[in-house]
Amino acid sequence: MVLEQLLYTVAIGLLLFLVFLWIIIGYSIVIREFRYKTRSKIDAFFIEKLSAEYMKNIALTEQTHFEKKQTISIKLKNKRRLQYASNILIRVQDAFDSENQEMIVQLCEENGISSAIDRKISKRDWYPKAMAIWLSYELDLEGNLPHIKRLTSHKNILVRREAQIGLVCFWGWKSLKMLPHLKYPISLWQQIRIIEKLVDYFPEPDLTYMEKALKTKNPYSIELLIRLMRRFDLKAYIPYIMEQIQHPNSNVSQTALEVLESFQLNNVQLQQLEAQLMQFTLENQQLKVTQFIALQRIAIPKETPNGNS
Amino acid sequence: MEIVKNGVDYFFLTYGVLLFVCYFLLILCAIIAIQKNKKRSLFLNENDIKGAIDLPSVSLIAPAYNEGKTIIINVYSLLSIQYPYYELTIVNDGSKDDSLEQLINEFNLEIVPFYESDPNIQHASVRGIYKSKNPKYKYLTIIDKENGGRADALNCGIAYAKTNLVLCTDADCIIEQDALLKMVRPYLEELDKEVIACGGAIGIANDSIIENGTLKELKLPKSFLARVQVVEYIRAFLLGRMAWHHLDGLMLVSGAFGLYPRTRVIEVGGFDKNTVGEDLELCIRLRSHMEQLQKPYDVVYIPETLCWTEAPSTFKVYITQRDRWARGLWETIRKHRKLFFNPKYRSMGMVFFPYWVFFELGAPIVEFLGLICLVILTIFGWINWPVALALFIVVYLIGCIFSTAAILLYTVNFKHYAKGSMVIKLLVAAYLESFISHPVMLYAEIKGYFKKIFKIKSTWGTMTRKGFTTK
Repeated sequence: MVLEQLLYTVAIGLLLFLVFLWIIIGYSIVIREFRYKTRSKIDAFFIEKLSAEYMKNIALTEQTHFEKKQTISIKLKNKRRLQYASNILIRVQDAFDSENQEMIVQLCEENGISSAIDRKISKRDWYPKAMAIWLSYELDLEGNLPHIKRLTSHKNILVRREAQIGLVCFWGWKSLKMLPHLKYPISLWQQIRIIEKLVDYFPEPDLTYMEKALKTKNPYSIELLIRLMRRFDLKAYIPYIMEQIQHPNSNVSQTALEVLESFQLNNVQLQQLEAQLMQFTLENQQLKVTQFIALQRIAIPKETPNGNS
Repeated sequence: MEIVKNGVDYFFLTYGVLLFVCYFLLILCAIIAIQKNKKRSLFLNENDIKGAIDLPSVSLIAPAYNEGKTIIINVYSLLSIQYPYYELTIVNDGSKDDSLEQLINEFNLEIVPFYESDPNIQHASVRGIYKSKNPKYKYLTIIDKENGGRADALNCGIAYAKTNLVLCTDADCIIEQDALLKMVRPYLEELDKEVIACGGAIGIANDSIIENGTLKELKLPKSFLARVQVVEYIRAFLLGRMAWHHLDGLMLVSGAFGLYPRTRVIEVGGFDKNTVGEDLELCIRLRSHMEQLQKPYDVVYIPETLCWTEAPSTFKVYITQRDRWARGLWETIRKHRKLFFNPKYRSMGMVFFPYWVFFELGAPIVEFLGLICLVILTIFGWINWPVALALFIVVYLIGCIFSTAAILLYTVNFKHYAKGSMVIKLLVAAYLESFISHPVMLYAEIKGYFKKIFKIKSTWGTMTRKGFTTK
C-alpha cells in the first residue's frame, strides 16, 4: 500500500513536470512567432534606412519612389535584436563591398550597435568577447583595433582566432608580421578565412611582410604561408615551399606537396625534389612524392641538354 | 522460490533505474552540447569558405540497387550540392532494372578505360566505369559492378575515389544543398584530434514536397508509423548522438550520411561486407584502429538535419528494417567483443562499448524477458496488480518525458517542426508509441536476435519504398 502510494506520488510529480514541458514548448512556439515579427520589423527598418541613404546619390526622378518618411522605429536594446541587426549590416557589407562603409558605421553608431560591441569586447566571458571581435571586423569598426590587438594570444581558442582574423582584416598583409610570434596552432578553417580575407580586401600582395613572416618556426604558420603562396600565385617562393617538404611536421610537408602540385616546376626544381625524395623515410610521403613527380613529368616535356624539348 | 522472485524483481528494477539514469544524464549532456554547438556555429559562416581553394576534396558515394524509379531525380539532386571540390560516384550494384540505361541516356555517358583502384579494399568485380560526354557533368562517375551488397558497393566507390574525404550515402537520400560545407567544418577545425568520422542528423521526409531533387516543403508523414519514427529519430539523433559526441563516445555514424577521411577508411579495409550493420561496425573499427595507433581522434556529430530519407510506412517494411538493424548490432558487438571492459581501449573499452552491450543490445532482451516473467507471474497469481499498474504509469510517464524533452529541444533549436499543430501531432505520436509501434519493434528485434542465435540464414531484406512526392 505504501509502495503504491509512493508510486502514485511520483507519477503525479512526473505528470506535473510533463505539463511544465508542454508549457515551455507552447511558450517557445509563441516567442518564435513574436521574434519572427520583430525581425521582420528590423528588416523593414534597415531597408528604409539603407534605401534612403542610397537614394541620396541618385537622380531626383528616380528617387521619388523611396522618398517616404521614416515610418518604422525599433528598439535594439535586446541582445538578440542587436545580433540580428548586426547580421543584416554584415550581409549588406558583403553584398556592396566597402562602397558604403561610412554609412554602415553611421548606422551602427545611431542604433547602439557600436556601443554594444564596445561593451561586449571588454567582457570576461569568451562568447560575447569573440562575438564582438567578429562584429568589429565584419562591420569594419576600426575603433576596436587596440582591444583586438591585445587578444591575439588569448587563452580561449575562439577569442584568439577571431582576434587574429580581425587583425588581418584591419592591417592586411602587415598583419603577417604576427606569425613568428604565434604560439598556438591555427586550424585549417582559420587559415582559409585569413586567406579569403586577404583575397577580398587586400588583393595586392605586400611581400615586405611576407619576408618577415617567413621567419616563423610555428608549423601552422608555415602551412598558412605556403597556402597563401599558392592562392596569390607567388612563384618566387617555390624554393621555400620545396624546403618545407622535409619539414618534420607531416601536415606541413603534405601541404607543401599539395601546393607544389599547382605550380609548374622546371626540370631543375624537379631534380631537387627527386633528391629530397631520397631522404624520406616515411612510406606514404615517399609514395606521394613519387606520384607527384610522375605527374609533373607527364605534364612538362623533358628538356634535352641543349635546351630543346 | 521467494529468493528467485525477489532476485528477478531486483534485477528488472536495477536495470530499469540504471537505464533511466543513463538517459537522464544523456539529456543533460545533449543540452550542454546543443548550446555549445549553437554558440560555435555562429562563428562558422559557410559563406566564408565557399570560394576557398584549400578545402579538402570530397567524393560522394551513393550505391544504387534497383533504384530505377527515382535514380535520375536523385542524381540531379546530388549533383546540385554546393561544394567547390566535389565528385559524385554512383555505384550501380548489379541492378536488375534499367537504372544504368536511364543514367547512360540522361547524362550522355560513355564507358571509359579502367583506372587503378586502391588494392587495399576488396569489392566485387567492376563491369564498367562511365563518365559523361557533357562537360557539365564532368564530376559524375558511374561505376557498374556485380551485385555485392551495400557495403561492397561503398567499398568499390571508396577504392576508386581520389579525394581526401568520402561521404557515404544512399542514392535515395535527399541531401541539403549546403550539407557538405557544414560536414567538412569539423575537418577544417581539427587541431589536436584527428576527425575520423562525421555524421549529420537524418530527417524523415515521407509525404513532404520534393522539387527538383530538393526538399521544398517539409510535412509530417500521414502514416502514424512514419510519424512515430520522426520522434524516434529526433530522440536518437538530438539526445543520443549529441550527448555521446559531447562525451567523446559516439560509436555510430549513420550509413545514410557519414563523412570519413579516405585514407583512414582504406587503412582499416573499408566496410565489412559480412555484416548488415556496416555503419556501426566501421565506426567501431575506426575507433579501435586509432586506439591501437594511440593517436587522439574524434567522431563528430552535427545536430542540424542535413539529409532526408523515407521511413518505412508499413509494419511489414518496418519489421524488416528493425530486424536487420538488430542483426547488425548483434554481429558488430560479437565481432568486437574483445573491446568489452578492455582497459587497453580506454573509455571506449571500459564505458562506451559496455553501454552498447548492456543498453543497446541488452534492452530488447531484458524487455522480452520481462514480458515472459509477467506472463509467468500472472499465471501463478504472484502479481500485486495495483502496484504493477502504478509502476507502469511511472515508467510510461518517464518515457513520455524523454520524448517530450527531445521534441522541446528540437522545437527550440531548429525550425523544421515549428508549427503548433505539428508539435501536437508529434507529441501524440510519441505518447502512443509505447502501445502501437514499440511492441512491433521489440518483436522485430527479438526476431533478428533469434535468427543470429539459431544461425538462420538471412539477408539485407527488401525495403519497399513509396517514393517522395515530387513536383
